[in-house]
Amino acid sequence: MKSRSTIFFVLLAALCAVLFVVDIAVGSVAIPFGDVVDVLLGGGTAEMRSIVLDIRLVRAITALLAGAALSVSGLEMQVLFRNPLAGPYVLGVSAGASLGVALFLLGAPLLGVAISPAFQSIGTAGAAWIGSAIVLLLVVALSRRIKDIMVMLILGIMLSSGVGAVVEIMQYFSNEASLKSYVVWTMGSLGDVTATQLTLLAPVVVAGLAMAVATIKPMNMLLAGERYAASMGLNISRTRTLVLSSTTLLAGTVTAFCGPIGFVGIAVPHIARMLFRSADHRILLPATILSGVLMLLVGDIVAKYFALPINTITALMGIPIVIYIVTRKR
Amino acid sequence: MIKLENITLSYGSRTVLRDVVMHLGKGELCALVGCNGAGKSTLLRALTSRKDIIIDGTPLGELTPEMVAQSIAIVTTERIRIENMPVEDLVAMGRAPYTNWVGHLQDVDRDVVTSAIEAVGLSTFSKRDISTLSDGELQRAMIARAIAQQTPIILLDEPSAFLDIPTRFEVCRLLAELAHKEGKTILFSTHDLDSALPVCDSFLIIEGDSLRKLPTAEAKPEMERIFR
Repeated sequence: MKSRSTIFFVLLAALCAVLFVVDIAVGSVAIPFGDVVDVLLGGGTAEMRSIVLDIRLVRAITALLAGAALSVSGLEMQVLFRNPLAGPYVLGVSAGASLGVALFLLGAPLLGVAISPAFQSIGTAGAAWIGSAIVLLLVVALSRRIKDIMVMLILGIMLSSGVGAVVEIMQYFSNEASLKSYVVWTMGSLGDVTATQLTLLAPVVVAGLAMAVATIKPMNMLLAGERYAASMGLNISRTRTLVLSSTTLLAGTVTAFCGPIGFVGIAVPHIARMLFRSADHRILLPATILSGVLMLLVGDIVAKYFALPINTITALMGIPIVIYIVTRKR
Repeated sequence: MIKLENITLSYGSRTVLRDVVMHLGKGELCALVGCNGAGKSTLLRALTSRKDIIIDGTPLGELTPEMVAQSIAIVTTERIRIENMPVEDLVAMGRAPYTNWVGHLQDVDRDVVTSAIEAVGLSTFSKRDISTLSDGELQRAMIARAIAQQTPIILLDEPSAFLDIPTRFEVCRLLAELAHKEGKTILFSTHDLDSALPVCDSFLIIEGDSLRKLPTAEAKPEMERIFR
């Protein structure tokens, strides 16, 4: 089985590298592929450099980080909750982010506070991050009291529905302009992240991934359930805190900057499991990162080609996989 | 090896066992019997979690989680389902208290895993995916995992439930071998007296809220009085 993993790792990494370059080559302005490569190697005109490096490279790196972050947070949630359908959003990360953004984009105008256009983008990201962080802190606090992990999952779903209802009320009373900015945010976008924002997004995602690496052994032990894991010396509450913090950093931050991108967290870990036929997270974690990067790069290329929001594409890619997972064994 | 002194156990608000005093020695195979809901699982759970349980002279509360994991291994009633996991990886989980932060297996660990799989007679299955195992084979794999944890004490909650009659006897013989040849202290709960009686050194009998330990010869008539 070792050789199978090696083959897939090489294959996936090569595909990611190719698609990364393709993602940079595709865009609304047609630039010949040779020129794109030229710019990446340090040449090209100033105008081309600005398009390729400041816009497309930033966007491709954002896709790469978002893919890795969302899929790894999904992997962690699925192991922690021992549920193949768990994902960062099931726990209310996107609900918290949506509430934050709704309060900012819809609530503020309702109260008569005007948002300057310059402040809107970073303010949206900040509101989303605070919203998802508050929800996950709540989840961490609750998970210390509530022993049953299924109850936590149900609470997450209830929380999402509750937030959805509140957001709908705000939408009902909002004017068209703020309503549109909110709806556009919910569609998700990899193109709104600026180079400056990337300098914040990248280190946070890397930190979240580093924490995920620290949960490799705990995740392997948790496969047998919390009781067995504890009997083998695992500190369950510390592991839960570590996993949930890692998820907040990964999914919360990506959602803050790119909007709620669905189905990556749920679907990608299963793709990794199917490809690598392994339950060992020393293999599954890097496999999930590569598969997630691949999925979002493909998604972004399609999104740019047809000028569609990324969220609809990941949904169309992810939903068949999820359906396959739930119908396969029964 | 494992000692309880005047311990009262409750499940929720209900007192299950009162003033338990009990001692299990090294190499002793003991069966825990009692009606459904009598407190067998509660007692087994308490043995790994209560601070005042004495393990080899030291209260559990004074041991780190790693030290507890190197003293007591468990086999629960839960039928675990993991996709894409070969038997040898499941058994290797038992090495967790000994491996580094990422769970890297050294040669020593691999030898322990191999001999644990051999001990339960699953050598030809070691590469097989655990989802393809029968109930009896999976139970043996779970016992192998506990063996690989290299603890002086193993606690098993109804290891023979869901198994056919020949496999029940086989599991009991395996436990007897571990206790009597390897010197492990083994306590398992069971409803199946037929397979437990020939191999056990002693019985822990729960009747009402009291727990008594009797050697097998004395336990047999007692249990016939209570359960038949």
